[in-house]
Amino acid sequence: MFIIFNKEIKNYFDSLYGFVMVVIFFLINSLIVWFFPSTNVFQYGFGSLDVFFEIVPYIFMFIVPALTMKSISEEKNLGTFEILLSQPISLQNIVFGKLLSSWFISFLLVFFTFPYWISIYNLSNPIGNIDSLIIINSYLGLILLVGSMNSIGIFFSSLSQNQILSFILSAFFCYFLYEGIDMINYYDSINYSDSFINHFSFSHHYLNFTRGILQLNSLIFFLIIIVLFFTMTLFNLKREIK
Amino acid sequence: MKKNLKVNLLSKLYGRKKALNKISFNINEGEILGLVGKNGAGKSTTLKILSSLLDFEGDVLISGMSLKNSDISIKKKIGYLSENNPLYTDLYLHEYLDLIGNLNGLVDKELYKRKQLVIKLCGLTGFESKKIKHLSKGYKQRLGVACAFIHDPEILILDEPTTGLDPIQIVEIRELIKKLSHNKIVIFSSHLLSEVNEICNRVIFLDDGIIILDSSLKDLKKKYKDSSLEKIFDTIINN
Repeated sequence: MFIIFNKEIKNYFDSLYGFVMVVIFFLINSLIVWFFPSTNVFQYGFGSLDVFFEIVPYIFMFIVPALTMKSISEEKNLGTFEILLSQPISLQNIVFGKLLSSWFISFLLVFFTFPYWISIYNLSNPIGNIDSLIIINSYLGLILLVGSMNSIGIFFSSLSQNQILSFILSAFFCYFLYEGIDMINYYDSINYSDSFINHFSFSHHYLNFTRGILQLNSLIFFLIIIVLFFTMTLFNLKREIK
Repeated sequence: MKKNLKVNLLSKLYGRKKALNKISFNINEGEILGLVGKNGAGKSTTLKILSSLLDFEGDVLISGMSLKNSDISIKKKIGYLSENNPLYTDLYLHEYLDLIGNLNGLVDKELYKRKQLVIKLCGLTGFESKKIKHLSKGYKQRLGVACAFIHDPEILILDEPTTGLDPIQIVEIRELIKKLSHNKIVIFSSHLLSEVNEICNRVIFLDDGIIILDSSLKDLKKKYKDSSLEKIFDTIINN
């Protein structure tokens, strides 16, 4: 599994592809968090990273599908997936190695936003006047959220040999699970005071983390999504081998 | 123990179409078997099954171990070169050999030794630090064979190994296969009967998923009084 993991990580950074992703991610984030007049933290008036945690899931809705789109679909298209399958490594390990590598890249992107936290910490008056516990919790929620998005991305990458189609499908599905369910819930709420489908929304569980609430069911929800789409990827690939 | 491969009542269905219909054959160490047939005869399907890339009915025994019921490590006994020889073209040649070696459990000194050996045997010396995408078709094919061979498998499975090569490269790959076949079971498929004639000591003709002939090349030439393989194939197909 670590052989596949290493291969994938190398693949991201051997080409311009990985660096472009990193640059785009930090450019958009920095502009929103530090520069744009309507969103920058200086306008906000509080020592908080709320703006960042609010905006970053939308950026990952594009970054994660871009990271995962070629993961399996390109290999199937080029025929190299057959090479992997003919080696003494299980399909589970191949897919897990790929999932872990794209999740790790996403994790690195999240990790390198820590200077934002340090900056806000030092800019606060008095210094350190921020709720670091909420920020830690939010980071945990974000890592789980991007893990789920990666699992979804890998699944859609396994469905087609067309990378663009994989990208569009996984971006749409991530958006639907993050915000689409909320939209449906909005109409649902007209008739029902407490909506059941709300519990299937990414934003519902993620926002729990950003509010500083560490709920076990939110943690389990994201883990279930990761395992579910991982299993669906395996199922789909096994079906093709038959 | 002598290495052998037993294929027993092997069948494969694609939807309702029978790609293979209960084919059986045995191969022993030192034999080079050529699988011959028209397009859709079942050659690639047979090779993919033997490389455990497809599910199947029947049984395949590699030196007594069942391909169906054994764990994944049985794949270490097999070296496979796919029809179009797909490669990770962004990798350097040595990186690619490392990757395939690692996947087959080779590390450190053992990997280094095997790598040096296959580079030498396959005539890839001097190309180790070249990116695969910059290699010629012939060298890419050599690399494909080198990867199939790096972990010293019992069985080498080569699907159309000379497709798309120029005449000189074809001769080079033929020589390479002959060189690597020592103490191994080699199975390869080809449209070119001349190639089978050059390399193999045994041939299986497949048609519509069934074996219509399984014979040593020597016996075949004796029986058909030195006719060319093309003529023999035509005669058998038309009968």
